[in-house]
Amino acid sequence: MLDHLIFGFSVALSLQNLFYCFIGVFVGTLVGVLPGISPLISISMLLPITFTLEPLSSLIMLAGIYYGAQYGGSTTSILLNLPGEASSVITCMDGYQMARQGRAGPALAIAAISSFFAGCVGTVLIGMFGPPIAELALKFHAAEYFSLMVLGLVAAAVLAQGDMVKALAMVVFGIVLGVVGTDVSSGRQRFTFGIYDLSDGIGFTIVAVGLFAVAEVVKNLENTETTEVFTAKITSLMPTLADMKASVNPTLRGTALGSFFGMLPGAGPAISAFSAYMLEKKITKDPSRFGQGAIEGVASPEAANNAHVQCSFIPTLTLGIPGSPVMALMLGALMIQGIAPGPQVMTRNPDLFWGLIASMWIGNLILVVLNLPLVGIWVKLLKVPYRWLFPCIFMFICVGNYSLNNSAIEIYLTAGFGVLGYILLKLECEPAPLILGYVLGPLMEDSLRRAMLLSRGDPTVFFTRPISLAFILVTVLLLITVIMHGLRKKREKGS
Amino acid sequence: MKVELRNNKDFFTGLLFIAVGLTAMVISLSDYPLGTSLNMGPGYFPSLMGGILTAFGLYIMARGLIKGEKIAGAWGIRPLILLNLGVMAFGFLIDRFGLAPSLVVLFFISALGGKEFKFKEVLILTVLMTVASWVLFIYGLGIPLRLFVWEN
Amino acid sequence: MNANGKKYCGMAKQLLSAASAILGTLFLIGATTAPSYAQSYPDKPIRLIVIFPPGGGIDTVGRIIGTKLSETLGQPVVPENRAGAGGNVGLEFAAKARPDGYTLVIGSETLTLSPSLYKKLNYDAVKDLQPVVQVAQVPVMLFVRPDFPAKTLKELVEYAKTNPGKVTYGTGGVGSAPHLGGELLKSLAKIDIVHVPYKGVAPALVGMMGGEVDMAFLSPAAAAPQVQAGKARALVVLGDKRVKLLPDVPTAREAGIDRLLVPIWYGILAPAGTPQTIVKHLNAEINKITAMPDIQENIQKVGVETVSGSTPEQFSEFIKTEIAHWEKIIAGANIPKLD
Repeated sequence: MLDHLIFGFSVALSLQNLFYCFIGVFVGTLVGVLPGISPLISISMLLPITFTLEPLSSLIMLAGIYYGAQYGGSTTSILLNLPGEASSVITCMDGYQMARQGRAGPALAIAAISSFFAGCVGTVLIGMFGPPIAELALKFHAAEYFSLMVLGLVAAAVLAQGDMVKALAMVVFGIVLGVVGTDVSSGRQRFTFGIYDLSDGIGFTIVAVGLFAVAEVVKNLENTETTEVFTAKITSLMPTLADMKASVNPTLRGTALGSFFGMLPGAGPAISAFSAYMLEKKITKDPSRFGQGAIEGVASPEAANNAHVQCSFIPTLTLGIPGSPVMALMLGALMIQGIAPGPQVMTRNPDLFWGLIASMWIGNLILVVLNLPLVGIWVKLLKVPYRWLFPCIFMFICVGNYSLNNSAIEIYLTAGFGVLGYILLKLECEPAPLILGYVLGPLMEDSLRRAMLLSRGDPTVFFTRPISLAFILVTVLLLITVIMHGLRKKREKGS
Repeated sequence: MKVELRNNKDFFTGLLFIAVGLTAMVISLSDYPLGTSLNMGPGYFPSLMGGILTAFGLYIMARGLIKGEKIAGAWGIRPLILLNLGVMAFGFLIDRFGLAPSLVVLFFISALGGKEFKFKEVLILTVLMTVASWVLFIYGLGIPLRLFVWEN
Repeated sequence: MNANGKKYCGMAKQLLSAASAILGTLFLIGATTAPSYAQSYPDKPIRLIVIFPPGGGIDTVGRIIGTKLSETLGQPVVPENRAGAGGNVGLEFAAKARPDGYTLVIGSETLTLSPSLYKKLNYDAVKDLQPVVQVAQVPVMLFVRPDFPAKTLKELVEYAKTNPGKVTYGTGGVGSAPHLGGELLKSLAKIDIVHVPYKGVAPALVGMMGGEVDMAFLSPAAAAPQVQAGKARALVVLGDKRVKLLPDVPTAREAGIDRLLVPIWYGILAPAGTPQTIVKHLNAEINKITAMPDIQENIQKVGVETVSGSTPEQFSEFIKTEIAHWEKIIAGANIPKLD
């Protein structure tokens, strides 16, 4: 194992590979900072260039774009409440509040540090346990995925801020929105009203940007008196020792969760970030701090999301199964280089496999080195008068969402979700559970229907398969503890 | 006790959920086959979810009628309309005239939604950001956007 | 002095070329509607509509050809993804674009399957699009999980006959070419097998490898590495030639079912009414590109095989016969129409 890694570093540390690694993470950070411009677009545009490169160099560069984008995505979430990727939605919740309190610096720095840590752990995990764990992923059938989704959604609602009933309703609202588009099982269009652009569903960034960023800007402008959105007083650029201490355990837990979910093809990074956040909220002594700028609420989901991204390379490399469209693109890049990813890649192309893994570690290091000094610049950005800042936010929203599919309809939809987002905000309905329902709902329906079809309509399939049963039991346990907790509170109040 | 509906937070939240839930349920029940629980049709899941959402909506609405909590703060109707109008205008213009004209319109309409509007400032901002977006998006990232569209 | 003279000479040349460029541009702006513009084609960037999202075979092939075409035409060819409705969003967009040769589309079997699969399309696959050149083709293949009892297509048919309704097959989606492959096998071999659609090719592959379904109809490239590693087996090629990626796998005819043929193909089309000179010009240029060994090699690595030398007429004929062919099969297989 160790000599494999040393071999990997010896391959990855060539000047040429370092150069491409840097280019990759640099472009990735840029792409991640720009909402809507997804790593998918930039990787596919760079694909023809990689034909002329060596296999390892091109893979290192493309991988750099991918995890660089995850890094960059959290920057706009923290600064402007503008999530670029599903996984950074959670970072908005406490990160943006920290920024408003003048603590954007520590938030950005903690995000970078916990991501770095998670990335390193993820890298080691890939190297050590990659192939056997990948085999385990094949044991996840439709029933397991369904039970996992139920657990995720119930957890999201139960542990959300404030009103549990409203949060549950928002999850269901999200699931209903997720139905829009072509039905996987029958090919029918649902709720598309004859609009072709809706046939693949409502784009994620449209929903997220509308509900979070547009609504936030409108809210900031609703009062006519001039109050600045961000406190002028910036306490410090770097996290204090107390901040660091508070982030250690959340980072560890987030990394563990993210690594687990990352190995399952088909579970996107959103579920990692969400569950990590919910877990922190569950075990903290004072849950009311969450959503008000708790540093754990930044550290843990950021770690989870980055660990997820690293570990999602496991099924891609060792089974040849892409877990996401971006991974499909990476597979394509490998194939063009004449390398068949799959079970044999480790024995047939050890230099490539170990070189890539070592390069991920190097890439994460470059990201920290690149990002920590940038924190100062980002924080200065918040000193720009808000009347200049918000039209620019809207420019990024429009250009980003348009460039996804070159569709004007999607821009109109963004405006629609902006209006909905503001209404929900005024009604004090937290948008995060809606987003999770929206992301996981389609997966849930798909696996429910497939599980029932394959079991010939026998619903006991969810209880007879051990992994599925475990998820169901945890869900029930969670519900019981929350209800008991509620009852106890009521009784205390009554007495 | 008379419950006031104006700005009643939970009443309107419930109303919104009921509207969405009922729409989903009615459309899926009337247009999409339900199927059986063995082989669920495209209408099964959305009508179920629509039903659950409606139930939540009714509960929250009833709670609103009992509690009568008010929506906090004023409604920012002006920024809400102007900002989203700017976004819509961008969508309308981008295919027809290209990036530069759409950005000009977007910046001016959305800036009108702000607290103060200074023509000169907005003009400078627009020019700067249009150039920046050309450098960044078209030149730098190679995104297939055109600064101006002459025909079509 | 001499050097100075050269310098002046060079400057004059530069000025002259700059002036002619400006004049040329002005002339062209004035003359965009004049019929003579075909001679100077292309004088501005061409957009190549890709009907599926970034990633995946068609996008990569489009980018490989687009990059090379930019070099040979001297104008950038910019791929633009317009995905949705199984590829029909992009095809409709191209069908309704200006027929001036500056909008092209890289289409696939979507074009020939959709007319019989959908209740209504907002474009006419034959009348609204002008075929330019077919660039690649590859047959669908049938894969099974490693522990599946049947080793050949014959054994599979026997097994399915003794276990009606028990054998399941996964595909990347309803109405895709692989799905029709499954339906075609069902009707040709008269067996009862159950279709399990997945959201995309990758989940279908996972489902088959993990034993959730027994078989999967996929493109050869999707599962070739897994076959080589013994994590899946390939039973038959749904085409009349063996594929280079997996040369040991028999064709449908060799396996005993002659008409089990389902091609996946990519081709370039333009809006109907595009000047014939431009169509011929593009056909010649793209045919030159697909004949280049390095391009062929790159495209083959994506998992499809290049078709070279196809003329617009041949391509158009191919599209028409495919549409007629699938109309019959889809009507016979009793697949409900999509909306």
